[in-house]
Amino acid sequence: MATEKDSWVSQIRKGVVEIAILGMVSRHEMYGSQIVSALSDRPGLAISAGTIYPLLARLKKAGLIESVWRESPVGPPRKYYTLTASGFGELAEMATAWDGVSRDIDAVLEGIERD
Amino acid sequence: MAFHVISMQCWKGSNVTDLLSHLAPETESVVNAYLSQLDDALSTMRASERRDALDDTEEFFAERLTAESTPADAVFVAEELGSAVEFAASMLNALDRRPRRTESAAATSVATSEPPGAGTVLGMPYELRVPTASRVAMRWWDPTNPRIFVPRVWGIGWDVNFGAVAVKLGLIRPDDEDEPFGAVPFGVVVGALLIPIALTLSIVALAVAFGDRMPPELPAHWNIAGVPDRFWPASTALGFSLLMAGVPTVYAVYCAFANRARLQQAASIALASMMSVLGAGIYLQSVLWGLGRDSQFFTLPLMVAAFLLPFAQLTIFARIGRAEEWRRQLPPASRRSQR
Repeated sequence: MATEKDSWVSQIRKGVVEIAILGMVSRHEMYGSQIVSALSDRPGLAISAGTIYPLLARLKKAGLIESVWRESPVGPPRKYYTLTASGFGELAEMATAWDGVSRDIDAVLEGIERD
Repeated sequence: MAFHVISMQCWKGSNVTDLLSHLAPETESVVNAYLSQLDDALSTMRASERRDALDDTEEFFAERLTAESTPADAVFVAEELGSAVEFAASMLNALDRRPRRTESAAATSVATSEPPGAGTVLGMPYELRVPTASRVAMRWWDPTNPRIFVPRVWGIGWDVNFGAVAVKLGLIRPDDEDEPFGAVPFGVVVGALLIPIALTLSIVALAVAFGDRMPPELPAHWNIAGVPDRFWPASTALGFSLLMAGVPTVYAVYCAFANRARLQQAASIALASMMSVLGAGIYLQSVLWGLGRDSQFFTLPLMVAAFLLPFAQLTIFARIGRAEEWRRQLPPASRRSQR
């Protein structure tokens, strides 16, 4: 039963990691380890660097984000990520879908006792 | 679903790479089992089309599974496609080809008793699919994958992901390069080729310098104490060392001048360097023994060098590629400040 629960939670996280990354870089440009740090600080997401970096590469290939090198106040230059126009469009669609899903699920779970 | 997978070809790069190396071994083995069944069910498809279909399916799994995915997650993703037989039939129908009849309709689930081309045995991963240059390259250099030990490209056990080692040592970052070694100048590639070429030629030089002083037989194997325990003809010793060093070196030269992707070029050079260190080192150790000199001390330094040389080469490639990207994107003043 613990394995099934872990799989179910893993499936939920897997489904939202892309919207999480797009949402974060939509507000301001961020570099890779900054994104990793910001997401790993959120226990509900529990996303590791091994998941984020391949996904950043895939999102960039898909044209949803772009990167640019910038000087860093400490150490060598960093690669910063921002959303492209396509990325904003995709994020808007995903956010709308998420609103619908979370609203309906919250309604279904209303009154259910949590652990 | 078949058209969705096939349509992914429109943005696939010219060299398809192994995208599953970020998965846990047991999760990857589930995916590989599905791909193996799919390969079997697509046997009537032309080889190039079958290869493309398998690569697209591999990408499909890679997009939906993460480093934290469990085998159950892989089964869940596979259920989106349907069984391997059903999925193959839909692709063949889409291409107007007849599917091959399978002996048992029960062999449709992902968890099958048929031996796949890859999986795990006694907790160790194994890979029996014919290795491709792309798979070798991606296994040996994947900085985005934090796992240092990844399933072997061929055989049982693990290979080292040099990219993960370089990241952990702080020599590079996981996302430093958009395409691994994509910005590395060709001159650097040619320069790196000189190392395995020189090592291979050193075997010839040793044979020319000392060949007539060698005994009829030279060591073929050293035991753990560094003492020879098997022997073979001196000519066989020379031929074996030359093949060990020469074949990968010739392939690396071919990759460089056949305009293959930089990742493939770099990986082939790293492999050639490793094998030429081993080939030259083994022959030198044999020659020293043949001359009556102490050769026992050689074994450990040889092993260390065979690991460190490709690691150093690939890391240097990555840093040069990164510097080249900086050169293109950063203002000149900031580039001077980085020296």
